[in-house]
Amino acid sequence: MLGGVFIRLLFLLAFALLLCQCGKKKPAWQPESPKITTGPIQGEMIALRQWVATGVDKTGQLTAQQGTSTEVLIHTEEASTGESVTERWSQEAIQILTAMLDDPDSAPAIEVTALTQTKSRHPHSIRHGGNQNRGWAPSLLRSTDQDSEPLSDSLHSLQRRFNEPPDVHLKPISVESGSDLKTRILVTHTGSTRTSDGQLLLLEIHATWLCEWQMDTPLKLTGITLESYKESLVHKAPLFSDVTASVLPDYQSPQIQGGIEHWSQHITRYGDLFQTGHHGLAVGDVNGDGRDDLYVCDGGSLPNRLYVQQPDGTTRERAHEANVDLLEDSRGALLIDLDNDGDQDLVVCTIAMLAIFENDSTGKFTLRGGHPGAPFAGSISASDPDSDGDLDIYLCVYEGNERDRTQRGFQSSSPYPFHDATNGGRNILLENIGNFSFVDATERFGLDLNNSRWSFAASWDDLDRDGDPDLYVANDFGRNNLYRNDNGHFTDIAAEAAVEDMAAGMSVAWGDFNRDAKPDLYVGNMFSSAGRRISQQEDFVQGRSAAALLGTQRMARGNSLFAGGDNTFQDVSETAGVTMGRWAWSSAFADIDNDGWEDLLIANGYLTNRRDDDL
Amino acid sequence: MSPTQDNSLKGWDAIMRQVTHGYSWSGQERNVCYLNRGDGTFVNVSYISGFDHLDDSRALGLVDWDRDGDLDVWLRNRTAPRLRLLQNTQGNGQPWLRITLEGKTSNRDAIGAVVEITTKDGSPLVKSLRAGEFFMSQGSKALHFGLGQHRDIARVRVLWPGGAWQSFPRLSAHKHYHLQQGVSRPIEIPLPSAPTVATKTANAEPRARQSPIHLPVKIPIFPSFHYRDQALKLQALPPSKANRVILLWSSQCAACRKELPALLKRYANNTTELLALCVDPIDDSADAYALMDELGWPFPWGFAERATLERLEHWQQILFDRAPTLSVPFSILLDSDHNVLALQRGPGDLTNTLPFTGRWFTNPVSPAYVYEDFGRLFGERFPAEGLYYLELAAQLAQTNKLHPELASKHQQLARQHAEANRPQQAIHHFDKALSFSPESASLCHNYGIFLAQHGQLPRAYQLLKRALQFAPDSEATKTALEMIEADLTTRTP
Repeated sequence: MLGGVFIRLLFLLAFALLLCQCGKKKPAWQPESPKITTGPIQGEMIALRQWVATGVDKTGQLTAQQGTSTEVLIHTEEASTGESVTERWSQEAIQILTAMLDDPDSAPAIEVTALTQTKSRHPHSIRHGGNQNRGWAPSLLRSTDQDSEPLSDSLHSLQRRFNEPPDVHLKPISVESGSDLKTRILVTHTGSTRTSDGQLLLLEIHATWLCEWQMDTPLKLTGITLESYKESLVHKAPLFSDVTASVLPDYQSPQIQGGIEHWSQHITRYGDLFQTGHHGLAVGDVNGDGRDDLYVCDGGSLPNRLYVQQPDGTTRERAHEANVDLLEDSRGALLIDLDNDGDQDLVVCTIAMLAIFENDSTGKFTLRGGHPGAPFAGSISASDPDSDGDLDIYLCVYEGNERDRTQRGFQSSSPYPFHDATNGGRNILLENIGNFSFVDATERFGLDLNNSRWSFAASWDDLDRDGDPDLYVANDFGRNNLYRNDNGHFTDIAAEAAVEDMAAGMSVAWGDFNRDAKPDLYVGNMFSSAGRRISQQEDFVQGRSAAALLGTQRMARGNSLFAGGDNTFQDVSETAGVTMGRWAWSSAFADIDNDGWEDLLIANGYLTNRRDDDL
Repeated sequence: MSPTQDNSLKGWDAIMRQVTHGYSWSGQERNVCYLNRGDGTFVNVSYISGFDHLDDSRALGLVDWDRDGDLDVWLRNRTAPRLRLLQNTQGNGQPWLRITLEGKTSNRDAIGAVVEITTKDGSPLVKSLRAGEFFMSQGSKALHFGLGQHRDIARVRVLWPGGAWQSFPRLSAHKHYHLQQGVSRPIEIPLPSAPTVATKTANAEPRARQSPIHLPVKIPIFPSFHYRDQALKLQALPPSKANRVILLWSSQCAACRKELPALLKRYANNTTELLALCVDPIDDSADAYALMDELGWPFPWGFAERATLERLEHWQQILFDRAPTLSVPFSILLDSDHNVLALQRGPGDLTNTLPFTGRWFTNPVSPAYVYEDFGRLFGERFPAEGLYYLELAAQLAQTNKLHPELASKHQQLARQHAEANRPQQAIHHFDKALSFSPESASLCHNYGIFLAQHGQLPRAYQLLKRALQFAPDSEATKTALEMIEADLTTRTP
């Protein structure tokens, strides 16, 4: 979904010449002084909707007026525009359950059955554990009380778990229709509760309900099986506190307070501002004062920022002084020591090329050059695969350039076949040859094998502990790569190591979650409840090959956790219970409570736009 | 392209179009946090951990920012706020260890190193140092180890990039050590006396406001821009000597009623010309006339033509990856050659600049590229106007690469006009097509036949002769020529 054709000309001129231009010769339209005008919010203006309606209709294409969440079936090959009957039932089921949760007395006189084999039944007493003196230590409960009880009792006791009405969230993840209808629903309750001695606790409950319906009008609920139930609560809460406002000097600025939806209506596509909002960050100590600083990439015409940490933890924004306030659309960046002189140099993936900056050790940078081999690269990672003592760079390039240039920005990409696409971009390995110069060594290293996928992320780890780093690449729309490094030559062993993870790969994390000293792998994917439902439905299943079907169904499963073994990995995603990361981007191992066990943090959400009706 | 692939593309495009027009797609999703229970299972603690922000988050930077012995998190978001620092309040309670590395024969950052901690009573703790992971993210190079109940560290081993293991003795918890390759003694780095970062939560979150939009390349307004003047006479944009601001307004819109006098004031002592175009229906325009009388509006004004508004709506939408709705007040700034320089949604001074400075290290986008791209997008709904921009691109490009496309698109328009019985327009487009592709036999043939049907036999004869020159074997052309020859002979005595 990145701009396939970059519009800033690749420049292959002498960099000295360009350096002279930096700061001197500006494009005519470039702002001279910062000045923010104030205007009304959208509501004060009259939207001339009648034109939108007629205008868009005339094209004969999907219009903004058509389409609800159920009409456009996403994650399918056809994105059918027809409304699915099953989908309508699924929605009706949610409406009924929502009403029932609001008013338990309206529940039909049926029993809730808890699956005994999952040992996850409904709890009836609060048990809070955790040592309050040891910081944030949540207790995790599963009740073992009884096998079944009347639904209304069950709902009442659920309500009583909270001291005030909790937030309830229902997400249907499967629908099966035969003579009856079965819907599987993720039910989340979040809120607060009190102990008997009046202490306030935060509480969240995650359950999976399998609901059975008699297909009348309206639907009639005939049974609920509680497939899983987990609740957790904590005394001192929450663990994380949002301190951004005190740390960023420009917290109130439009660049921080304007989302990409705003900017993609205020900066043209010819200023390289695109909707996807794929802009990363890099943490590193740019001035050698022992405190980590933060470099932040942004879209075209919005300058990248460098936040330099002060002794009190706040920051000063120094991108301009440091010569790194690039306006080029930027994706990933790294702060790494490229010349082994003890300071952190900077590399930035921009729409035109990889920009390479040298640090003068005080946090001031000089543009030393660029490598044009991977325009519009996304994720960037560095390691020393040839063990020659300097850092080489691997760049992920998402899309290929086969599509004609009539479509740009958000509309420019199109993977095929959807579940196993090989028409993506070519990732490159840039070998560091000294003096901030790099050569494309992809083929020489053996990394051009299976190298035409839609790569979103890559990360290195020394899997076999032989002293050279191996590489995992997460690809959207299909199989991932695991390249084993044998003395600087790579072989793709993803299939034999059982980590192809054929899905919508977006993130790679290495870590040892089970503490067996063997690297495990957590891969960020797409958990799509719509995709899960639709790809199981009969009208979708018909006419598709088994492979395409399985592939497409697998696409929406969510994140994957692979436990590392001797030569192969084991997919433990479902048993570990870590697939539900929603539309997951960065999916990280992080021991957030210092208990020695790697927890998981997932940054997710694709596109939140003004319109509420989600695709 | 197979039918399935075609369908796949159509479906994909349909989704893209929806999103371009403001639909969410897996939006409003809360970030997720799973706690490792140490028995192979995890539990969802997104809410009670305070990690469940609704942001469209992308990158995630792990760092003990406040150096108090736990991992804080930087989040890079698509939605506002674009950045979040989530401070971990776990603090110094549970034992932890922080390790930084320095390579000597290995790369100095020691990227790729593996650090293994063995505790006296527990299983090993292993982490490796990376530059770049997750999605477009890089965290701190300081490795942070939570030690849980196992505060007695038996041994720390480092596998340096290149393959050499090195052991370090006697490290204790709650400390930061710097380990150097080949140096056996760890260096203890002092910690700050008190954890930093005062917590200040923002009040109501501010929003980014409307600001003027400057085009990186000036783009001519489409030639069919028309309006009705006060006397309801149809007008094209009159020539101007200076820059001109065109304001679209409605008498029913409060912001417009304020913006009109503001505009007068702003440009009172300025050479900028003003044109105020009302979007109210002409048959319901009493309020508009009354307002302009009340203001004593001294500049030209009138009513925007519906066809012009439709084009303007599309014109300003295709400039952006997220197509905005056309709303009033809306103004555009043009130079004296009718090139659009800037747009403004809502009230405000168009001549204000963008809020941000910064530097480009690449060349700006070329007008030829913009006109070509813009022309194609505009042509999707307004083919004739789209061609106007494509022709501009062709002129600037100074190559003939766009000529075949221009010829074929003009010919297509010519055919449509011919079918709709508008011979003048058809001839216009045939001529245009011919100018871009003078040696196309089929074009000469089609144009010739069209002219013959409309009685222009001598010119038709010329064209068919020319067609024959480029396709000497065309029976259809030969037959047509014979018929015309016969006809011409019978007419000329």
